[in-house]
Amino acid sequence: MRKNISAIMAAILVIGLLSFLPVLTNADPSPPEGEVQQVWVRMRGIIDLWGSTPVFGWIGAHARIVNTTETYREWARAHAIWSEEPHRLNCTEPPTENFTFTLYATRLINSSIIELDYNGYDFYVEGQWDVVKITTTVYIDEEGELINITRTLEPIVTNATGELRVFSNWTQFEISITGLDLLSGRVTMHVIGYMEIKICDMNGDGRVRIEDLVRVAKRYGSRPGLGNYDFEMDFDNDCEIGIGDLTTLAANMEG
Amino acid sequence: MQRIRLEKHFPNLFRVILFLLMLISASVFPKALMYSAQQTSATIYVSPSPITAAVGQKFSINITIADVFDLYGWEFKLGWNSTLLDVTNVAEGSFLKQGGSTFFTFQENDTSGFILVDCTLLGDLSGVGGNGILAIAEFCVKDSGESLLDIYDTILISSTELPIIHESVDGYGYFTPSHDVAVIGIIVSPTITLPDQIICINVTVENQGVYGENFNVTTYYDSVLIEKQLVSLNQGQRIVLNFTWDTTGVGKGDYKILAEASEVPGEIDTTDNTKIADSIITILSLGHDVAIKAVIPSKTVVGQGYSLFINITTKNYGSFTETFNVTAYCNNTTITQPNGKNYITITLTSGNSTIVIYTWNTSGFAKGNYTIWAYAWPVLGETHTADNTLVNGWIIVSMVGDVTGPDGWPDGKCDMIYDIRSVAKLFGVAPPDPRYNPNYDVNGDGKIDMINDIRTVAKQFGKTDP
Repeated sequence: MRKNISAIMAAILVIGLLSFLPVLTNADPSPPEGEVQQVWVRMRGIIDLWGSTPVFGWIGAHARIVNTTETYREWARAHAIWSEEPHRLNCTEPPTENFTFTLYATRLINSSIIELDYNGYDFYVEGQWDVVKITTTVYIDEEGELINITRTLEPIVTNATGELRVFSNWTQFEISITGLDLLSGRVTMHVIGYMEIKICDMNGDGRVRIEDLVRVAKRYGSRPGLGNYDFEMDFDNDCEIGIGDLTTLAANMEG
Repeated sequence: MQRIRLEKHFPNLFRVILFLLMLISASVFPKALMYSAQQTSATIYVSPSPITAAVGQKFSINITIADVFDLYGWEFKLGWNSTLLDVTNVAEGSFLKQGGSTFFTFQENDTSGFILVDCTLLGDLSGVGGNGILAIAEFCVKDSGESLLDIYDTILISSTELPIIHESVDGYGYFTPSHDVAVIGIIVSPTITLPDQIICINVTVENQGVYGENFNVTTYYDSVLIEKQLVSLNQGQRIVLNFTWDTTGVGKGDYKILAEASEVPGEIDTTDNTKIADSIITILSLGHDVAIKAVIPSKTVVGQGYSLFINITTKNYGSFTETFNVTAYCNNTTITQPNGKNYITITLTSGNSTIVIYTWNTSGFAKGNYTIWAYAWPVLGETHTADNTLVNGWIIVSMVGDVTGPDGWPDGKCDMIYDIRSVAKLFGVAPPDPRYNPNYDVNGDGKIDMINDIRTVAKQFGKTDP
């Protein structure tokens, strides 16, 4: 009797473990047989250092790399924000008092080189970058209600040559932009796919649907430093989850 | 046999297994509980349904939600028959707006006939509960018919970003022609009449559209006006109109009766606005009068020595029953029947017609073109004899195997391209197959077969008519 129970329990255990396999096997998929037409790359990371200054921030990159025949157009998106006030940037609660907060944002404007396994780097993007300094001032009334937000944008560099370099087996990265101290940090996630990795697929099910739209909508109006902001949902890189992000997502929905 | 006692040798194994099972359960059950917590009797459906609209009209349907709880975002597809409908507008309903600002978006595909519609609340808000309209879709009816208004791939999301279990109910639409009148019946009586009599014509017309219509109904014999009437019909109403045709002055003959309903403004389906009576009207002549109405040979090319049939339609236009002879001619030679006679005797009552079948065995006839005609011998007292003769076409008696040529007619030789291939391509073909060509049915047995037709032609391959 006990032997039978043992067998049943062992079977349940195996089935249970099998159900976890998709989660555990997060490795890069093998390329399909035959010539690879295009490769899709998505990465996320945390910025730790700006020159020698400890900072906190996020980087996101998304690219399509084509085969040598250049059947498809190659492109890359990359953007990052960081601040010397990590708690403010990473806050999850709405503000309760007046404050002024400074963050920096950069984004890739044009790319000239997009490669995997390039000169010792796991992933390499070269191109022109813009960097801006964003100063946000928040005014809260005596009852703790938000009454006003002002935001000023100050360009730091414009159309500067720069590189995103990922190395150490996809664990480290650097952003080197002319006129800006080196940004560096650690990679938190990367995916290499041979099927399209959709920009707005927030839940990773391969499709862009209402579930993704709702995720973004829940953070509508949020900005860095004001709580609830999600860097990954800021598709248009304007440091605000707004209508531009919703429409970008809607445009990527498939009928 | 000694049993292995695992629990004895590995006393902690079962504890480990139990611990792992608890871990699995802990990872699975909360999700199951969350889903079950979302179970509602929510229904997303099309309203009103069924819906009726006319061609050219616009109509709107609501995509409605009922008995939902904490709805934060939704998505659905709505499909339809794209040959009948075009979507003209899609708008957000009022339901989700109760919860705050919303983002609404849709994609339409008129070619495939569907829309994908999405809507979500904005911000960190609670969802909306109850009943209401999610979206409004407006369509234009292009054509009449029926269509499922198929709502599918529906997704409802709660404010906790969990799916809300629900069911969906399709709608249905009936799309009618908007302005549409039709002649649906025409009955004439009597169908055979003496000269100068009255013919009654009953025409049934119907308003098949959705509006009241005023229109004219006109009757004709052949293309000559008989009478016109104005009629008013409400939606779906039909009426029988009585027309009278005074045949005074109309000569003997056979006449088709046609009724026509005038086209009403906005009418698209005009194919049923005219109708021809099934029966023709025969107007007799007083006295004795027989006629040949048609002469139709079974083929136009026959191999020398083979037979063909000639169908001869005769009619008695007189006012008496007549017995008379009919003779068929090729050029000026009478065609002798297998029984040795060169005529067929028939009896016809007044106003009736019949078809007699002549068999022409071409043995002994030289190759060449023959004009075929028929002659009805005049009956006693007959004065109108012009229609006793009818010439109708000619027949080519050709060399056996020479069934066609470059111009579609025998060219004096039996070759592969025009003759053998033409016949072989129709192997096995027989009426009513529209491909059947009686000229290729060499022996005229009603089927193009291998032995009697294809082989007969093939055996003549290469021969030239001397």
